[in-house]
Amino acid sequence: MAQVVLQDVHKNYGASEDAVKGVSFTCRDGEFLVLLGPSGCGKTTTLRMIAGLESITSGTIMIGNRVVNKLTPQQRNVAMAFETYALYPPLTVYENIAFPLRVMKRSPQEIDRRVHEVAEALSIADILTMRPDELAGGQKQRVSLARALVREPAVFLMDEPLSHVDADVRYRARAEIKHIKVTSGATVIYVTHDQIEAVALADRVVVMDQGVVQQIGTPTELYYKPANLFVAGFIGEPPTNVLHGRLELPDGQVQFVWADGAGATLSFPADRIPSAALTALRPYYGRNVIVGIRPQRLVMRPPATGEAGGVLAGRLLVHEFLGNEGIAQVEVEGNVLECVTEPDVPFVAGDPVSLWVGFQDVLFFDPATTRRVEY
Amino acid sequence: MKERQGNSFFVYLGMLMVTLYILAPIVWIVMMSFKSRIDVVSVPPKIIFTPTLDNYLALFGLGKVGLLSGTAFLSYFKNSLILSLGSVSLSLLLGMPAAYAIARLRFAARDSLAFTYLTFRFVPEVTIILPLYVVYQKLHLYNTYLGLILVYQLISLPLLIWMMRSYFEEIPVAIEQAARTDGYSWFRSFFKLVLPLAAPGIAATLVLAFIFCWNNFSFGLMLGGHSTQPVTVGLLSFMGTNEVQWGLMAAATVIAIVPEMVLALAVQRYMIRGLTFGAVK
Repeated sequence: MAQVVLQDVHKNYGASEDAVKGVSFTCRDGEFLVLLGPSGCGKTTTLRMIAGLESITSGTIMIGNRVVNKLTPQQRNVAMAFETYALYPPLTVYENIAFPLRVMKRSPQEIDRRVHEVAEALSIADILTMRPDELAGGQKQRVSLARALVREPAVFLMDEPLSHVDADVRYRARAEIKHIKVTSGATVIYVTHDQIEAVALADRVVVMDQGVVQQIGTPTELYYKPANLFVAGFIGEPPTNVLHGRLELPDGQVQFVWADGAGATLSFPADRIPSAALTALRPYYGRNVIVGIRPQRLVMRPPATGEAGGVLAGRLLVHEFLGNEGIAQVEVEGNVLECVTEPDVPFVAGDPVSLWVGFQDVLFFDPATTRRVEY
Repeated sequence: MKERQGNSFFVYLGMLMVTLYILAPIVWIVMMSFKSRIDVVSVPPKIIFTPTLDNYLALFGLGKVGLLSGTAFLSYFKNSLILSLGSVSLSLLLGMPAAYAIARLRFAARDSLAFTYLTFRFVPEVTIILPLYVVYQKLHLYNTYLGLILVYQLISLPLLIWMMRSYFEEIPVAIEQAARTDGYSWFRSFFKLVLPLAAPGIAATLVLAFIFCWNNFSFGLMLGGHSTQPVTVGLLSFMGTNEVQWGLMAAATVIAIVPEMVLALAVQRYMIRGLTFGAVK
């Protein structure tokens, strides 16, 4: 296994704008790195450049300590699992898995041993004689993984391997991938548009949008310390509530005045705010700022009785019961905020409620750059 | 249920009528080919007659019908084979890489290039044939197999490029990419994986192109001489100044359509797709 390093990698397909604009990251030896982003963000193109299936317009890609820019896919010693599985239709499952070993001219005994080992590990030993068109989606996906695993390559590349798997098998397949990763100690670069998949699998996530890396970090970092508004909106379900407004500093208070919310305010006593935060927010006093609050961090309560603090008064529109939690849509001055609640709440639609948030859970973003104000 | 049965009865009746309509001329020609000189021109036409092989024997130089023997027919038949097979082979050689490139590679002129090939088919042959005649005279391509094979590319090349492109596009590109990451070179993955998968489609396309070339009339008429003209043109020679050799012509026609019929039946299953190709894309 080996580490993979990308330095300022660009890809241009001939349009005026690059599809991938200067991507740099390091996937450490044995790390599970997920490239996450919406469709068209350049994540698959980046993966394909690592595989050698796309040429690199500029920049450097290293696998191990070797620059692989000019190498063909077979010289790079990477294994890839494809979104559409890409099994060879005329070959049986056994032959599909054996294919890379046969290309490498391994001995028949070794091929047989390796194929059976991998087939056992992925519990597909019983379908080795079948052909791809006889298999269900989940089985195809395992065969495709088996074909990648049998190689013992420098790095595994996975291009949305679960996106065509039925929802009921996906959870299990995800756990299997994680298990394979843990037991084999493989270096994996995994592409997905599904943030839940990314968070569940990754050691670290590279969030991409419009060909640019937005943030690299552990799932926790992305969740609690998103680098910008895009990451805050993309990671987490339901998406982060975004409020545009102004930051004011009346006596002893830090106050967010919500412009769209008819001047509804979130006030926090300044003496309870860490001084680092006060310093970081100083340039924004009296100016516009964007606030993000995760639905999980809003607490729905009975209407506040005159008390100040991070409270917004509103009215419950809808409450969805989801078994282990609930999601409430709360109308505040003509805007709808989402709030994750207990499965059951003592309110019905139309009831006046208040939404409470602690200062530490309020994310401030610069309206010009959309970057989070860090402290 | 009853209604359905009624419907299917009329559907079959309709199909039967269409089949009869299509087969009738062929049956008529086949009957003519077995008639004697007298029976062929009798009015009203005879449905029941004494069949004779004279026409066929004459075509193969084994007898005569009246004063004529049809031995020239065999050389026309040979010309048709050379021209059609030659054209299809050349088109395959040129068209396969082109189709693959258009199907797989991303390059700026891709769509306009593909469309340009298609435009070869837009222009009626007769509108370009006079200038071509002049050009061919100057280049000494007139009345050569090479010249005719080159001009036949207008018929077969666009067809092959467009249909093979669609067959290549149907093969998931990931299969090739998987093979390449698994250690196949590009060439090996093309010949070992892509080509076998596309083969039935390509075979059907080749047959279709062969038939179109075989049926061509105007290029051979205008750009070929006696030694290179195909059977479609050759059939005209049975129309003499004082007599039309209907029986010989019919027998020659029957032989001329045999290769097409055999090939078409062999790949019928795949050809349906080829014929409706423009409609579904």
